[in-house]
Amino acid sequence: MDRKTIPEIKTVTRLPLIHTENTRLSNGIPVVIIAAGTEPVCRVDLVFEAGSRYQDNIFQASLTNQMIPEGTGNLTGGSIAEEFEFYGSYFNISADRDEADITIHSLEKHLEPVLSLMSQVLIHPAFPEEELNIIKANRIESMKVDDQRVESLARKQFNKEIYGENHPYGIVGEIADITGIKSAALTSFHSRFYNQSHCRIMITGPHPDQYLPLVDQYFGINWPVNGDQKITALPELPTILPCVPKRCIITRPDAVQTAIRIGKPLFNRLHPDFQGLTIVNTILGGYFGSRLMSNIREEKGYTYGIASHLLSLRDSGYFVIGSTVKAEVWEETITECMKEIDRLCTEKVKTGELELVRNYLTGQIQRSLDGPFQLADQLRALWMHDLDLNFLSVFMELINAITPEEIRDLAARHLHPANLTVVAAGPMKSSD
Amino acid sequence: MEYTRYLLDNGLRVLVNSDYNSPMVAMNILYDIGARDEDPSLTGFAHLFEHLMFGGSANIPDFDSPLQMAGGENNAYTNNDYTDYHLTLPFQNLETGFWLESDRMNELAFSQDSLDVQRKVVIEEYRQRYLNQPYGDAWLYLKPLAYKVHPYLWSTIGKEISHIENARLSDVKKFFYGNYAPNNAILTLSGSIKPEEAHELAKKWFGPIPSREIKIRNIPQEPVQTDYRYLEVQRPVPSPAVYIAWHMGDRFSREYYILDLLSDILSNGMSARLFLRLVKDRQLFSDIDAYITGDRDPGLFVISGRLASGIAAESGIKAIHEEIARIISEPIAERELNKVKNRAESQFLFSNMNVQNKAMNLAYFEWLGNADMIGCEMDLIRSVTVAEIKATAENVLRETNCSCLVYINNGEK
Repeated sequence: MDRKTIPEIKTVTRLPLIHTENTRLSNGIPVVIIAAGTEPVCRVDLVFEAGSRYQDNIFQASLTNQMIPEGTGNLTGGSIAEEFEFYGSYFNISADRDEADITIHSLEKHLEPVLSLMSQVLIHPAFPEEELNIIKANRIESMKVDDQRVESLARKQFNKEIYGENHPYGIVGEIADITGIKSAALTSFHSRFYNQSHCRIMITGPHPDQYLPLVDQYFGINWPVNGDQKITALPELPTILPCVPKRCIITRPDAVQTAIRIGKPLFNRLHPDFQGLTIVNTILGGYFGSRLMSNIREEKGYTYGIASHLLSLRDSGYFVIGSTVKAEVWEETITECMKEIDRLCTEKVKTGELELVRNYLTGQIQRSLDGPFQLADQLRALWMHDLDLNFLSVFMELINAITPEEIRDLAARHLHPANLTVVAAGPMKSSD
Repeated sequence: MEYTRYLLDNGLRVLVNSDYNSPMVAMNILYDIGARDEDPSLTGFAHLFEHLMFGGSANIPDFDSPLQMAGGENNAYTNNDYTDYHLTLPFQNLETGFWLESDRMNELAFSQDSLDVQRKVVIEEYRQRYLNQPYGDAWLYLKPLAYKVHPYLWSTIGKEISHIENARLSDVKKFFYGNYAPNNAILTLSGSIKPEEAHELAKKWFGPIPSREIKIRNIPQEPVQTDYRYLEVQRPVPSPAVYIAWHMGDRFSREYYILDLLSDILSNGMSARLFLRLVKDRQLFSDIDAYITGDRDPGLFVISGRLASGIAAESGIKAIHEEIARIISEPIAERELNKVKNRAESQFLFSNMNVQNKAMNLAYFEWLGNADMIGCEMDLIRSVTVAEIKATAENVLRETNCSCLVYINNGEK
């Protein structure tokens, strides 16, 4: 038999069929419904424009989010958790720079009591001061651990460098910032941002027609907008100043390896070059066979892993390469990264490599839509920019149409090595 | 989960779950070889070898590129007991997966270059995961404290970096022919594929691979522990931490299910006992967890936590023992037990939500003995009683069965 020749490869050009529907609850909250999955489980995402960019004090947004399930007027945090867990359901809470959310996973058969409980928790949180003190103390402990990790030192510094340490996107919280936050600050943040006008809901599962009336009961009909309720306009994001490329070294003599971040602020999914640059980024460091992985890991063995990313925020975006490398070779790694970027900016990618990346990316899109909850994650990320699956159809077309010249020009336009900020945290040993 | 099982003449087991809702097919190959099978002077080898499986096979110079060309993605992991390789592909290109996986099961390229580079990569993985993190080396100390004889005493990454540095190409060849064989593997598929088609493809690509002689494993079993073990390590950590481990039964024992539920009662979720009592009420820990290692041979029941600021390790350890004493002296409420059973049931459902997880679960349970066990898991969990938890806690969570590792801050910043 012929083991040398790869079986014929078929190029996949179409997205799988996915059913989504847009509607509104009785109180006007916009809803996306995704019919997907076969198991009797479902997910409800409550998404608020309540990220850290809107806060007056550092940690206000994340502590508000974290404290919501910690008690209502008549329920303690422990009893709330107990009831969710008794129904075999669980929720995740998170807050990033733009959005904060509460995501509920539930068995279909228990969705009603779970939503009923969550609506009390979300609409009437008590923010008890004692619970807040415990959460603050534990957060401080985990920050102390983080501060010993070169990866988190490099990540924090990189963030400050690219957006400026006073910009809402660039601010990095330190231990000293957390101690002064009081419960009143959380109550105020909650009333301004966790309300109907800053909320969107996503419902995912095999029988969304059955869930929608329940979601409307507990987050629509039971949560009317009062006539005198003031709607807080979202504060404008201050202008992001141009980033002056810098080289920052953080010396940690005890560290065993060096963490590296290289990148710059860019733009988000709404920019016409975003999709093209995603293809550029894939070639550079966006998959296991990428140029950075081939060079730094598979050829030189300097690291366990290296990757580059294009991240999309509501009003910005950034490009970043991240790796943790053998202490002695940090400078060489940075030089090699710059070489690889320069090569993308000046040389045309070869047909074979481009073909591979085209097929890999289309497979990746399909994979990212497999399973109802992965699909929900993808749609959530798009929905932040009011985009839908059409964004991915257009991307599929571009993946199959983009030329080597276009790739080179996109790289040269946006990723010139001289414009990149470099952060390295480690023992700062030298190879010579 | 429905599936069809086939047995090839060379001993390869093939299990197929059809799921036409997915545009993908997931393929999982589990080899019955793990860190417990390693030579004590060459630990970490099973995992290093897993890296070499991507360095080219007899007819295909590089594993990843053709897979990516076919729109695929893959990964692998090694644990104490087995090594697992998994990939997903658009269903149209499934045959590429058969082509790739069968060639590397048939014969590796045995490249010196690949060995040289992957040794370095694995050493950096060792540093990144175990040495360059606060508390990162805990398991490198806890395992040899709890195990004196059984190979679970070393970690999958290896006892020490020198073992990885010392790996030779001759060891690689010997390891391959001694362990990688159709009769020592399980192939599972889940996704848009008919069982008959998968069977035909399996016969075509894997059928010609000869069975190989696999040495019957003879793993020294751990003698019963008879005294309390305690080890203190001094590190520049922000706060003390404790890791307490007790020997428990193997994967097939009833104890496994009982203690799995007990670990949930103690720490799974925000209403679990250790979290409510020791983190929130008494504020002794900033973080605490209870879990079982889940190994095939007799494993460990572990409670680990970081102390809250200003709290000494001894106070934390004492409080943990008080909670254990309460499990034994006061019967657990039925509702509390039902809560963790409900949670286990829903987590089981949530773990079967995409084709990759389904293929992986199928392979794991088949490796345990029979994929049909998947269907019995919930019944076993549901059958655990309050009395059994009390009796098992009393029998397992004893002082003479216990090993305790403590991180103490050595005063450095």
